[in-house]
Amino acid sequence: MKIKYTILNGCYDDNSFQVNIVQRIQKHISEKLLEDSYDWIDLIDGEINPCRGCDYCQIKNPGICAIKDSVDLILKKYMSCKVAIIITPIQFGCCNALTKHFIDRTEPLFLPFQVTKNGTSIMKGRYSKYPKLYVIGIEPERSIENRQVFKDFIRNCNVSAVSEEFKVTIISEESDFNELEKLII
Amino acid sequence: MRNILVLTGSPKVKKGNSDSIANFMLESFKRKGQICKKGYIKDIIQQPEEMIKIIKSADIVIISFPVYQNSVPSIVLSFFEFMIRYKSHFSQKHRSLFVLSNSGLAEPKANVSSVFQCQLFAKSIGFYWLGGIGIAPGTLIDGKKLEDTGKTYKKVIKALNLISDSISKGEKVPDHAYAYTSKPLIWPKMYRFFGKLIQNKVVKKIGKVNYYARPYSFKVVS
Repeated sequence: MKIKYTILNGCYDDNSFQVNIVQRIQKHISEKLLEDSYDWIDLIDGEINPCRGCDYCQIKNPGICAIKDSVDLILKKYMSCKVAIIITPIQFGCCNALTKHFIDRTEPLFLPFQVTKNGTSIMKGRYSKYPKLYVIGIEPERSIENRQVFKDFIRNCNVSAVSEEFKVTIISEESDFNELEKLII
Repeated sequence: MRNILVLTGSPKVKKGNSDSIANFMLESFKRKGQICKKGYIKDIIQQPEEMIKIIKSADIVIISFPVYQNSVPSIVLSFFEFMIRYKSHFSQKHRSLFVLSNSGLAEPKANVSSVFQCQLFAKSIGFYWLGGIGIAPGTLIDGKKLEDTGKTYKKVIKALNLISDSISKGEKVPDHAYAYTSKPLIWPKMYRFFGKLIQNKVVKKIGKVNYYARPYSFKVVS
């Protein structure tokens, strides 16, 4: 069976609140989906280096990153699934650094020139089709500005701009898990 | 007299446009007689003890960074996370933060999220938020000295001079400093057109097949 969902968990394992929420999400997914229909990847277990901004993936060896680490395999899985789910804590209106390492490293999925979408410049996609992208942000403080900046950031970044469908859900506590029902069917 | 720390937040370190902007600010502060130091986030996050020392000695932190995926690059986020982890080291003294964001897109709104993120970081760490400016696009600097970029960055230079002047005097950055960069430095349509044109040289050099390569394409097996 082709993997339908690729789940990228960007949470660290030293925060009990995040660990608890991630475990709940994992349980929910395992109950809803067949075991061989999804791939769960904990980014913390891989070697995810930050983007160097070297443009190797654009002009030297287009579509391939110069850094040889876990990202190549993750990008393969990302591009071969139908739905990608990114789980991240929200901090300063952004994801955490680990998740951002990965998001920045999706640069090989784009061509080095821009096009417009809804009147805004975006990077032109290298591929004709991208998976649907669902982002789950964990934010226990219910800060309106933190949530708003996060939503604006993630809604307008390249990976979401090219995705077939994009949704963002913010979870603060267990009652918010109803929202997951809408994402994972 | 206050200590000003200018940090470059680009992973490209010395070759990038963020560093050109940081260097301009550094020189501008020095001309105004300020005590200034410069550092690279990519380097200092490798040496936690040294980093704490550098930040502790600063009264004002200025960060120049590129926008990656509509936000601050991940090395800047790593730096923020580190600072939050050692927050107690920075609570003895009043510190301020100003940021200089530059985007690869021509629309100024491409810098909005990254500047807000820095503002939220300042709030979290307890630094006074001096403000943030967005430069769109930053790519036409092409790693040159800002003074050597011709007409395109004239308004940016004016804005940066106003910013360094007001920060040196301990005053609020005036609204017209932000107004200089509130419009695209180049018409976005023209920027996209020439961007595509420049890429034609790369296509000729490496070939169409390589340029448009799709190494992660998979045939769907039903």
